[in-house]
Amino acid sequence: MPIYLPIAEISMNAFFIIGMGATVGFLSGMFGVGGGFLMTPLLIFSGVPPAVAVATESNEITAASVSGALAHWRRGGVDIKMGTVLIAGGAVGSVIGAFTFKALRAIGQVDLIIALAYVFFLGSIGAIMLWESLRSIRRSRAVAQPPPQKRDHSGWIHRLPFKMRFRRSRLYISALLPLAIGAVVGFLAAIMGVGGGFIMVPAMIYILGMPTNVVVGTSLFQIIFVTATVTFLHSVNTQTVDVILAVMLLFGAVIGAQMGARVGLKLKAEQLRALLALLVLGVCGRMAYGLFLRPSDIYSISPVFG
Amino acid sequence: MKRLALIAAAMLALPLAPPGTQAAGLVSDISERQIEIRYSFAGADLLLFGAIQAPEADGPDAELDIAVVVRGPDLPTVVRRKERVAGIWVNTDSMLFVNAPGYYAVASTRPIAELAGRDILDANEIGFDHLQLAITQRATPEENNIFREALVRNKLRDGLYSSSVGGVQIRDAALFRTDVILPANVPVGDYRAEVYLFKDGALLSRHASEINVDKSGFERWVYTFAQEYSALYGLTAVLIALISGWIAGTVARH
Repeated sequence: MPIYLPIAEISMNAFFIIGMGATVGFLSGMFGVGGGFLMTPLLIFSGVPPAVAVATESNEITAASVSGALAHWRRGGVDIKMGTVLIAGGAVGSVIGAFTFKALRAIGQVDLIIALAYVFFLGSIGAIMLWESLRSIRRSRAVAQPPPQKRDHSGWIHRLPFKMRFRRSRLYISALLPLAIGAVVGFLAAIMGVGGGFIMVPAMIYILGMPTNVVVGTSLFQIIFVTATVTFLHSVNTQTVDVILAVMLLFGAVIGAQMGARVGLKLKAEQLRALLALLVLGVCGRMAYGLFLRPSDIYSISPVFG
Repeated sequence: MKRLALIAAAMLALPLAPPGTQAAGLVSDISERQIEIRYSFAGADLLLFGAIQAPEADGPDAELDIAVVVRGPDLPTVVRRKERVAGIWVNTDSMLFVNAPGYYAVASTRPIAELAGRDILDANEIGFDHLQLAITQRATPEENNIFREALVRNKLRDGLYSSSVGGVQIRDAALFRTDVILPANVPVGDYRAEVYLFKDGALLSRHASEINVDKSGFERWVYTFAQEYSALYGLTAVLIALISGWIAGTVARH
């Protein structure tokens, strides 16, 4: 059943769109990740203009994060104060990101920057995850298990000004840190069409030192607001948000995520992480391939963007 | 069936043509003049048909030829060239064509170069080589040509340009027809279908009809909303996401 997408201005099969949503939803339910880093490349590979893919996926992530954050909220897993500071930083980052995106599109470099950002972040994070999960799989097989080490903040972090108390996270740290992390993630959200959980979660654990029971909930909480800002900015700046595409993707994703979560419970955490790492590296490889391969036609056309 | 009926209608129209005292002329029509892009739009196939009036006016041996040009709205279009920079392919040089037709299909009974002289083809923009594609920047004719060819090549690949020698068939030296294929990615706007009648390299007659392509219904509404009220559209998109996310979360819990 072909369906015409009014903003993407292409005709696509409705079941194909819902199927893509369901597949990515399944994987994100299984691995407990947002899935933006999978969905945006998939949309691009299937012919959606990159700018529309990025902006539309932001819109879908807003919806997906609401349902995720609600679940964490109910069991007290959201640090509102920390989330608010992250959002403040995220707002600044996403505004800069959205305007950078618009400027890049006008000079015809946005596709390249999206691809480069994906290759860089997916490549480095996938490699770290794979290395860590392989190490822990090996360690779990060894007889003696060393206790996990508690990471302490290095000295320079404690010397930063504007200290704030975050009760739920049991932290007393400078507000500058979460502001900066929020800004970086907001910038990436606007450029890459992701929620940024894959940067946010490690940053919360390793840089801020937040307890793991509030990390995912707080990350989802701030993603709602940052992707909502990004959706709004892209709508105003480049008119690239396709609501119809977003709603159809979400429909598939909701169904897929439920099934994925059930499968995920049956697998071991480090096996899951190793699989996810391979998936991340696979997407990275596909993006890199597109960059290095000589295009079939080195000339391309595009409308003029103001 | 619909097409057969249209051709039959054209045949019936023939006797109405003026008597053979004047030079050969043309009448033509199109199966659809208003193309509406709705949610199920996957392109449109149109039939352009017509009749040559008084084909014997210039002698029974006259060699008649027809060219049909359908062109969509002119749109500024950038052509970019990729070069290898540090191993990866990056857009470098570009050329802006201010008025490239968003859609351009030409069909003819013979190769375009054999229809008429260069001046006639240029003046009527019949064939890719005869399109008047203006550029704003300074460029050598060679560079201009390379980018111009790249523009046509890309548009051909997208199905937005086409050229078909033998795409117009003349029946009984009087009736002609050609198919016009609009792909799903056609730009919206006013289209013009122009039929040219040639005899021995001279342009005898021409006949034009208008086609309008527009998004309609819900699709049109969404598109217009996004373009004209983009801030409100953005807020609505966010609101839809918040509500559907909340519904999804509530449904999933039960």
